[in-house]
Amino acid sequence: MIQEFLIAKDTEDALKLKRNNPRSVFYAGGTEINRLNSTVDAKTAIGLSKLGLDSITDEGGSIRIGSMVTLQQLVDSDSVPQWLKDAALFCGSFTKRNMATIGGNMAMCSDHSYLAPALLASRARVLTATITEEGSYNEDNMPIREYHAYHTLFSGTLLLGFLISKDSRFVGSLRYANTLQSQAAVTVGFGATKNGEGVIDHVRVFAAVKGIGLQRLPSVENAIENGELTTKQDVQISVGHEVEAKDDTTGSSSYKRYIASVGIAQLFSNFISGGVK
Amino acid sequence: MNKITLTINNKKLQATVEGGESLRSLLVKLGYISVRDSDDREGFAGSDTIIFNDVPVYANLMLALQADGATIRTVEGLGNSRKLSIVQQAMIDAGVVQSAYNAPAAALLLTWLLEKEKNPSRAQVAEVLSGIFIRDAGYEHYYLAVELAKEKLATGEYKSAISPTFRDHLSYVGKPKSKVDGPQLVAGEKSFVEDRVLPGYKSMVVLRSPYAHAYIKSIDTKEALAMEGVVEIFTYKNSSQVTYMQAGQGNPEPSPHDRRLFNEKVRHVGDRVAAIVADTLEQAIAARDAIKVEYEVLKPVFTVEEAMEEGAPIIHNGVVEYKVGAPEDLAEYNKKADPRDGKVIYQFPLHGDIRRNVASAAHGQIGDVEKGFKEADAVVEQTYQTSQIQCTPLEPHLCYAKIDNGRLVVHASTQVPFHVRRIVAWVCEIPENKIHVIKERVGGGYGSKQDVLVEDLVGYATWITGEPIYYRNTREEEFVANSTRHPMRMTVKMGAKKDGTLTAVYMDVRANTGPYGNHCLTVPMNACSKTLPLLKCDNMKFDVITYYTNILPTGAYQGYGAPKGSYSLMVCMAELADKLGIDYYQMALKNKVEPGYMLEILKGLGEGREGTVVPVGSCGLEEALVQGAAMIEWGKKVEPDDPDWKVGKGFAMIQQGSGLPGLDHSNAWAKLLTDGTFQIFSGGADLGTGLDTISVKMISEAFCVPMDLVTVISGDTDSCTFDTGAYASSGTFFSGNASYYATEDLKKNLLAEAAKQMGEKAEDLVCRAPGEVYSTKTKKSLSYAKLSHDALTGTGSGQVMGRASFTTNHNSIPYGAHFAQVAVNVRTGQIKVQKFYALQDAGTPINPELALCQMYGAALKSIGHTLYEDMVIDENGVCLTANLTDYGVPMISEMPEDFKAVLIDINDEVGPYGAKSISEIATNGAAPAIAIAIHDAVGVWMRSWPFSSEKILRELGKI
Ligand SMILES: Cc1cc2nc3c(=O)[nH]c(=O)nc-3n(C[C@H](O)[C@H](O)[C@H](O)COP(=O)(O)OP(=O)(O)OC[C@H]3O[C@@H](n4cnc5c(N)ncnc54)[C@H](O)[C@@H]3O)c2cc1C
Ligand code: FES
Repeated sequence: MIQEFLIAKDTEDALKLKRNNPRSVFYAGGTEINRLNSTVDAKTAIGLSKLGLDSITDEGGSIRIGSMVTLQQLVDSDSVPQWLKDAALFCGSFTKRNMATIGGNMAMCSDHSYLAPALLASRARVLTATITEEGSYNEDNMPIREYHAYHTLFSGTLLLGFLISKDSRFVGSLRYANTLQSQAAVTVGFGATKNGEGVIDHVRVFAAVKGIGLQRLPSVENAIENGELTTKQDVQISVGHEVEAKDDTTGSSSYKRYIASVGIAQLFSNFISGGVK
Repeated sequence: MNKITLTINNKKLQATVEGGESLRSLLVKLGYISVRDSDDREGFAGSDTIIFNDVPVYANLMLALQADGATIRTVEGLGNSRKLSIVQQAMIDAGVVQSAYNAPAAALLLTWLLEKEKNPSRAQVAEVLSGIFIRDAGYEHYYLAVELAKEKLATGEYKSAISPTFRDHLSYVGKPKSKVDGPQLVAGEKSFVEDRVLPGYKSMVVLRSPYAHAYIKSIDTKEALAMEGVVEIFTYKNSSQVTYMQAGQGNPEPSPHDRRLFNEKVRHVGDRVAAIVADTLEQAIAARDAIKVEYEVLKPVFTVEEAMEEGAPIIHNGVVEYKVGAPEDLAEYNKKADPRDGKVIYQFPLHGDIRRNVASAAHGQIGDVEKGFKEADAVVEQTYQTSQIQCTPLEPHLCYAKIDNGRLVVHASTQVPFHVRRIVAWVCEIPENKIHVIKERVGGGYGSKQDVLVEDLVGYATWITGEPIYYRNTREEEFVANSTRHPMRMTVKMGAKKDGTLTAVYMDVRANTGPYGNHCLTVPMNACSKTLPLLKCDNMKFDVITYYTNILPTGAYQGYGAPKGSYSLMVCMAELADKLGIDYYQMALKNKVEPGYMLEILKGLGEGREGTVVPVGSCGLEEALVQGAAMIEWGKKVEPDDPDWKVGKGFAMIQQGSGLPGLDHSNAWAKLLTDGTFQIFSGGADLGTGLDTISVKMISEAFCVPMDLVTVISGDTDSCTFDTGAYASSGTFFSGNASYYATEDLKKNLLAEAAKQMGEKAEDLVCRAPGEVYSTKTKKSLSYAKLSHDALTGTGSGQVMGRASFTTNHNSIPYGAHFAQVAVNVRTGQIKVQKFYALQDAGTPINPELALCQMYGAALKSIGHTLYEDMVIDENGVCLTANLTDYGVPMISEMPEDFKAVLIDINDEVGPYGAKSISEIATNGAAPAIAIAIHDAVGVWMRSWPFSSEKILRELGKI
């Protein structure tokens, strides 16, 4: 339960406040931090609203999305690609979309994440800021897969934003839940590129599976890139073997494995038939 | 403490806030009570919606400190009950302001939308309402409300029709007229129990059992009692020893009295162990944590099958008593009793056998089913299972009680104020004259507030301590300690001739009542009594057995057992039609009852007594079937472009009752005030459904006066006369009829007084607008005001009043048919309800706009039950879905793509102005209609709730 709210003046101040206050967290939309049974346990919240991280800018070859951009801003923006709008709409409540941020969502990398499977599949880059023990401030730009793979190491890191390349690339995600606003059993993301000769490259396959976590399926990615999996059916079987799942109220493990495989196979098929988005 | 400056509804102000304080808490402290919370900060239901710097947000998910320098709008800024905004008035006029806990939030959102977009699309309306949960009215008429507001804003008047109108010769009845309690509700003003709590109250919390089945070996409250602020702690050792039950039913109840306020044995996870009263909530919670309890844990039983097993753990193994009709071997039977289990007192025999976990049983038949099955060309026998479902009223169960002038005053959110008074009197062992129950506006009930789940404890604790006490269930407690739909296993056997003529129907209903026997006879009986009388069949039989188990408690829920009975009976008939190779629609037409058909089956379907056989009266069943089939284009196959999607159609015939003939009883009285205006006092409990509006309309219609000149007082046990309560679809028919006849009595007395004052004969006098008595003979008139004044002078003959009580043996059965078209994805198992048409005969719909909204609300609720709502418990009986997100309720995004409610125009011979009931019946159609449509689409029969994607995939053999 938050007991103290500090508003950071700038990014460096935010990092300092975080370092100097035990049990503190960055505070973006607050929709996770403040909710009943929140996964975030903290005493001090460090508000990021004054950091100027709430805009979407076109940077020529890429789009820069500040970490404080809300899911509804993503939906409303003309610059944001459709796949990211689709993922933002997985959050079914307009009111919540007005509060929840892209940074807050990605920072959690949760097992029912709205955006993470899509963002990971897109090969976006993550802009971060850190401060060392000695107080030196650094900004970095890293592949999003790295942020995901070493997620626990980034707990003190401030997400500044995301860079989304404008290069041709297919990205899609699908979410499976009983209702739009109940917890998803599975959310999948698929991304790939096809060059002029039709060679498939840079395949990314992710599945957020409730109860297990946000998984990357590298062997499926490799098999698609190597041309071992060429049909929807192939992909479905392969994902079904690789994805991990467990029983809970959102569904049995066999259902989750099945639906993850169907979803990814569907996205693969969309990619093959529609090419690049 | 921090100081912030903010602007709220154009008023700049300063506030002092704590670091972690939520913005909602600050707003409530500042007096903006419309910013409510219905899910304990889950961030789901949207009762806390505000506009923050011109953007809709949830105030409860924000910190107050974030509001420094902000501009905030709440519904208080839109208007007040005497000066509503156009949007607020449009919402009332469209009929969506019902129980209305979230109506202010919706008004705020729609106002904001219309400021941004003068002509919003349906999609924009859906988007802006996507973050608020509305359980009562469905969402359909919100689109109408926007349309009306848009028109009024643009042209100064409404252009769209609000609803069809009925009975041209009447002015108020059958016409959409603003609901009388709408203004205060939509304005977010003080209306609910929580708004009546005065400073200085004590808080109460309940310590609940972590075990599904256990004896309390020891309980130590010493340390907790000594803690700061603690007033009293109640346990089974120091509280009322009265054995009672919590079902708010007619007295004597067809439910066993099988509990005390606290029991030595706990029978479900969440069962009461102790109640702590303290100066503050925090102190009460701290003391709760300090209570030490030792349990002797017993093996739990969760399913009917487990409860039936030889040697199964016994849930109630206490002493059995009968008020009347005790069996001869009772003394022998009681030798096996364990005193720690308390007592089970049957008011009359319900054929229970608690040593075999049987709480109640009933059997009945007409004709000879075995002979009927022999005569059949085809027979189908299938078992259908329903799940445990929650009412999820936005306003949880809560109660505020205090002592005033030596009496116990109970502010209750209840459907049954007079049963509350009786049961609280029993528990406190005080006479009823010592208790005053005030029914406040009810922020959602749906049956669960027919049960006296919190008033018993709060009333008792207040009476004993003398302190004012406020208690409110958490949302989690709403799931674990509340009335829910009984899970049921129903086996239906049905036989028919080749042409579809039914030869025999048998229903074997096994109901799971959980830890206590609330409604344990009535609910399962309704699975038969509200379904079998739809069918013209000479051979019908039913067996109903209800078992005690250790699941979460069950009780009343809109529709009682009828949604489950309809599901099993209609799906079985469709399965039989399929087996016979005939059209299910033709089979339904062939076997449905029609006016005049004698309902012999009713004889065995009374509640613990013999039922009365009556013929089918007013009946719009055929019209509903024919019109619905035309609307959905029955028989026309839809082939979607995407091969993964298959489309199918289904429907179900449905019926309910209009109260309980021979059991229910309503009273009302009315008076003429000194200036010629009126007051009517109804014992009925308006749950937001428009019952108060009906009472007002009775007076307005009879005396030709505007509704604004009539005031209704209802559900107050001090000023109103007895009414059994708002359940079993009795409101309009019973309480409405009491108001109707009280009005007629008032009119008779008023005309008699007028005759005296005018020197005329009463039969020459009529009441007419704008509020006078007129002589058709002498053409003289006398205003009600003068009449009343003269009646009350020193030589007058007294106040003009009227009173009536209403009982009947007549069954005014509402009928209907619900049609569904669904699309099923054969790869993912996903289901889309593309079309849902609810056609119902409600007799004369007195409030047609409210009737339609109740049909939408109930139909959407039942779509939820059918497809995703589910209370799941683990192997220890712990609820795994004890919040709205995990439980899964339908929001606007789950609405059918094409959703229509249609009122079939039939006049009833007994209802007030020909009215019958409306809302319960609308929960009965979705499950069978959707199951049958799924079969039509993909060829599988869904025989258990909910029809999740996973289950569809299993049926299709995909997993
Ligand atoms: C009823 C309900 C249902 C929900 N369902 C889902 C769901 O299905 N899927 C889902 O993904 N989410 C869900 N959420 C959670 C939440 O709404 C979203 O994940 C949201 O995107 C979080 O963003 P936020 O800005 O509100 O984060 P906050 O609550 O502000 O923060 C969340 C976490 O992210 C960290 N954080 C925030 N910003 C940064 C930053 N810039 N740098 C580093 N760390 C940061 C915080 O320290 C905190 O640990 C749900 C919430 C509610 C109330
Ligand atoms: S947090 Fe919004 S209603 Fe509870």
